[in-house]
Parts: sequence; structure tokens; C-alpha cells
Amino acid sequence: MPVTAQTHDDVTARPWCHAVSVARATTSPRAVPMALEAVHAGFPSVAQDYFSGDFSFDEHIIEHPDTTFIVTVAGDSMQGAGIWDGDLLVVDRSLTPEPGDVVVAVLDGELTVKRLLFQGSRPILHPENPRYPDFRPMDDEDLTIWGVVTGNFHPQSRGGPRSVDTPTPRQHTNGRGTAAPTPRHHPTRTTTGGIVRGDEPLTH
Amino acid sequence: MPGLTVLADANSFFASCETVFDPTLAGKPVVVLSNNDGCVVARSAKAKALGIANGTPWFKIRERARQDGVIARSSNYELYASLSARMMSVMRTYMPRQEIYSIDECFLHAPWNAARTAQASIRMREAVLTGVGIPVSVGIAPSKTLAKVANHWAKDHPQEHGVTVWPRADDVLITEALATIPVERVWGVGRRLTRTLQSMGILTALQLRDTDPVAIRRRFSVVLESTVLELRGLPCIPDQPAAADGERTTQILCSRMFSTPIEGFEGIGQALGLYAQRACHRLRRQHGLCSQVHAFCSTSPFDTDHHYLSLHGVSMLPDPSDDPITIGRAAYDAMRPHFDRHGRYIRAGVMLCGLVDADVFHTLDGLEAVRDDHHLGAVLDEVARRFGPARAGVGYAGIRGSGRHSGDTGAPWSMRRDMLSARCTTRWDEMAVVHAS
Repeated sequence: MPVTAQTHDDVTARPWCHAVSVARATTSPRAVPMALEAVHAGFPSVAQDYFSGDFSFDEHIIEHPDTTFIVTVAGDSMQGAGIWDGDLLVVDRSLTPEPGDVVVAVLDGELTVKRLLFQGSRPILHPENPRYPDFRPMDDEDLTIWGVVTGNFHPQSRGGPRSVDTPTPRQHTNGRGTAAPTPRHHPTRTTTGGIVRGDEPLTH
Repeated sequence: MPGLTVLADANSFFASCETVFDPTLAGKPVVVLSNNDGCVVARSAKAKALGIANGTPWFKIRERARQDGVIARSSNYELYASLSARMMSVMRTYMPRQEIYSIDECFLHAPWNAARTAQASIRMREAVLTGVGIPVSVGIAPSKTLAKVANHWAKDHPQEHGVTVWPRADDVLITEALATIPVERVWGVGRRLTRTLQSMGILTALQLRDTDPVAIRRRFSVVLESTVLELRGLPCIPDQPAAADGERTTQILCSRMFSTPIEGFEGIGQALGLYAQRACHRLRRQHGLCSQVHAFCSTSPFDTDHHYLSLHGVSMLPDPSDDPITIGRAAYDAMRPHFDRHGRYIRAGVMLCGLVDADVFHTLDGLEAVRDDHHLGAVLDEVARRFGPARAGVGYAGIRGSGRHSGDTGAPWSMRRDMLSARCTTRWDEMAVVHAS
């Protein structure tokens, strides 16, 4: 991941590459390739061997792209885990859910985000907001875990994703006649960094 | 060639895809409808149990189906393609030499004995079910045709738990199974062949297997002879790795029905322009060039008040091309001289023929291919990727007219998909919602 950073250091540390960093400092980005060609006529650019594109945010946060889905959150019951209304969730379906994981579970046919806890061998779906009760499945009730949440993206005032509006589920599609999710509100409490992995200690 | 052939095929793929992001559909009768919500093209197990046949026009069974609690969905091609790609990619990690045969099935090669192949298949099946949410059935046999039969067997017999292993073609179990399978269900035996075979007294897969292959070749074809040999466990059908990627060696076809009839050349030109660009997109994806552009349109054969019209024109390109402007204009020019302005057209299409591989196309100096040197095609693809389809295009291309009527084409005649589910994996504004309440 830090390849490009190192590349830059390496390049600037070498005196014969000085022109590279000078060219980069100019205001016109188009000047870069021209400067490379002109200054180093007959001399290959060292930087080009090192640079093969910036690191990818997707690749960094998604370990299993085939089984990872991005969904959005509607509701405030997971605020204690740093998951806010309107956040994007990264959900990996290939992971085996373990106690303490934030999971997407199927409750009454609806996809729901909760923390998975256990009381002995009995699973509990625990909201991270004292205003909501725990969900304890009955003995004969199957609990379907849809996927394990590996992280969430919480947009800050200007750093949010480009024009992602909270989607309105089509009424006929979800077949449950629920209203559109509540509009995203911007909490006053801030969390650091884009990927939030819970800003409160786990309760297990 | 040692090893076994594995056929993995999703169960009711389109209906299963619909259930992934809408778990309320689990265990319910679900049908998926074709373009313009015309016919049933996929059914969940419950819908099959209700006796709904594939190809049934939706309007004929709509009332009855609603009473039975059947849930209908328009074809959500983007979702299906996305989940298919994920499913195929997961399976690729379990076995080598994947041949993707269609959107929901692939052949794999298992270089192991039967027990190990079965084990790997069970794990693969589990990984696709948990990781992507799609149930698949697996048939394992010495040849592709037998693997297909084994796959049907797995689907029809729940006690197989989704995996049927037939390691040896001479096994008694296989013989018994083949005796119960009607000949028309054998891969490669079409409806036309079925009738002739039946008239010869060949009614089951077993009878076909036990017919003399040489006689079959003389009476029918080498292809059907391979089927007989394959049923005997001799692999004869080679892999065609590129076919399911949409790679076509002879022609690329893009045609659609309209939700409302189009009258006049302006509307038809708009549709042709749009389809030419789509076909061109596929052509570029397979690094091809084309030398003929066909355009056609037709009125409804069921419209008894008007004459049935089916118009067709061809433009020959002076040099092979992958340029969307050249191809779009050729489609337009192909139709213009044949156009009848009195028709109410319900379908139009563009077909690219005379395909050559751009990488191997060389001519003398001065006789160059009309390539897309300005990279307009690449720019259009990028615009569509970033901003959605029909935001920019060549010519009419579906984005003109008063207001945008459809997110896909911008035009009022776009296909009707009234029961379309969210395109959860490809459109940001249709992302699945999980509830925190």
C-alpha cells in the first residue's frame, strides 16, 4: 500500500531525479510528462518503474470483493457502534459471524443491522442504542445472518460520497410497505476517519 | 483426459437473485417476466409447483397468479449479471478450468477422484450459498452431457442435497436414471429432433444412449452422434471459454421491443442509433471490428387492423470499423431507403456482421480500418459508467426529446419494467437499505 509514498521519497532522494520533483511542483500538471522527456532525453524515468497507479480504497477495505456488498443504513439504533443513519456499510457475506460482530440479520423479512451477542449458546441481536430493546429469537425460530459488517463509511460535512442520496426503497419491491428511510441527519458528534469500527467498547 | 466434469447450475437463478436483497420472497412463488413484462422467464420452486410454465404470457395468468399469492418481478438484468459474476468468481476458486456456459451455469474440470470432487463441490456450493446467496446444484460425471443430466437429477431429488456424483458411465444407477429421463431433456436434443427421435421409438435418454452412434450420425448429424457418445461417458464436446462473456464470432445483435409503438422515421432512427451504440460497445469489448451493419424494424404480427411490416436494410462499410459514429450512421442509412412511414413499429434492432478481430486485422498502407481513433467509444463508455446510461450519445441516441422518460434510454418507448426491483449492486441510488430501528 505505501508503495507510492516510498516511490516519491526514493525519487526525490536521488539527485538525478531532481527535475521530476520540480516538474511536479509546477502548477500545470500537463507539464510533467513534457519535462520528463525534455530533461531526461535518452535517460529513462526512474519514477515510471515505481508507479503503477494509486492505491485503491476498495482493495484496502474489501478483502473478499465477490462476497462483499455495500448497503446503506436507515435508523439510529446502532449509533453506539458509530453507525449513523445514512452511513454506508461494508458487508462481507463469506465471514462466519462471531460473538461481538456487527451483523446484518434477517428479521421479519427485513435486513437489519445489530450486534450479535450470545447468552450461553443463545444468540441475541443487540442494538447499540439504549432506546431499543434486544431481540432474542424464540427456541424454534431460525435466525438468519445475512452478512458480517466489516466497516462503515460515515460522511462528514464535506467529505461525503459524491451525490449519494439515501435511496428510497420501491414500495412494491420490499413488499413490506415501509416508508422511505428517515432523512439523513448530520450528528454533532464526530468520529475520526472514514472507516469507523465502533467508538465505544464492545459490550461482550 | 483424467478427471471429471462438473456442471454447476443455479436453482431458479433469476428468482433466487430477487430473493438475495428481499428475503420476504424466500419460499414464496416468484416469477420473473421478460422484456416489457411479457412472458414468464423464470420461476421459483413454489411457482413451478403451482404449474406455471416458462413462456406463459403474464397477462393470461395475472389474475389467477395474484390469487395464488404469486409475486412477479420485471427482469433486473443488472442485478442478475452482477450476482452471476460474483457466483462464477467464487466457484473459480474451487476448481480449475471454468467454462461459463450461460449467466447461471458453468462447467468446471475436477482433476481428482469422485470422492474428492464431491467434497470440493459441496464446499463450493456452500460458499456460493452463504457468500452470494444463490443456491446452486452440481452434477458430476465423466462428460458434459452426463454432468447436465446429473445436475437435473440433483435438482429433482432433494435427498441428493444439491450434489449428484456419477463417476462411471456404466453404473447401474445412471442407467436407471437415464431410463426415467425423456429424450427432449437431454442437452443438445432440440424440439425438432425430439419429434423425429420419438417417431423412431427413441423416447428416453437411455434409448438414445443405446442407439448405434454411426446410425445416428448418418440419419442426423455429428453433433447428435457426440451426444450419444457423451451419454456413454466419452467426452466429445470441447470448451468454448469466450461464449458466455458475450463474445460472438459471427454477429452481434441488439434488438428490443418497445413499450408503445413508434411511428415515423425520427423515432425509429432514435432507437436504431441507441442500439447501434450498444452493439458497438459490445464490439469494442471483444476488440472487434465489423464490416456490415444491418438494421431492421417490424410491426406487430397480432395487429389485425394493419398490414404486417418487417423491414430490413444493410450497409456495407468500406472499411471494418469500431467507430460509434460510423456504425450509427450506417444503421441509419441502412433503414432509410426501406422505411415505410405508415407502420406502427413495435420492434427494431441492429446487427453487426462480418466481424474481425481488431488485433489481427492488417491491410495494405492506405487501406486502414476506420478505427475509433478519437476514442469516442471509450469516452461514451466512461460517461455511462460514471453517470448512468443515456446521458451522452451519438445522434439521437435516446437522450433527445422533451424530458427524460426512462433512466435507461431517455425515451418514451423504452421497455416497460413496472415491477423492477432495486439494482442494489450497480446503482448508488438503488442501494439496499438495512434497518437500524
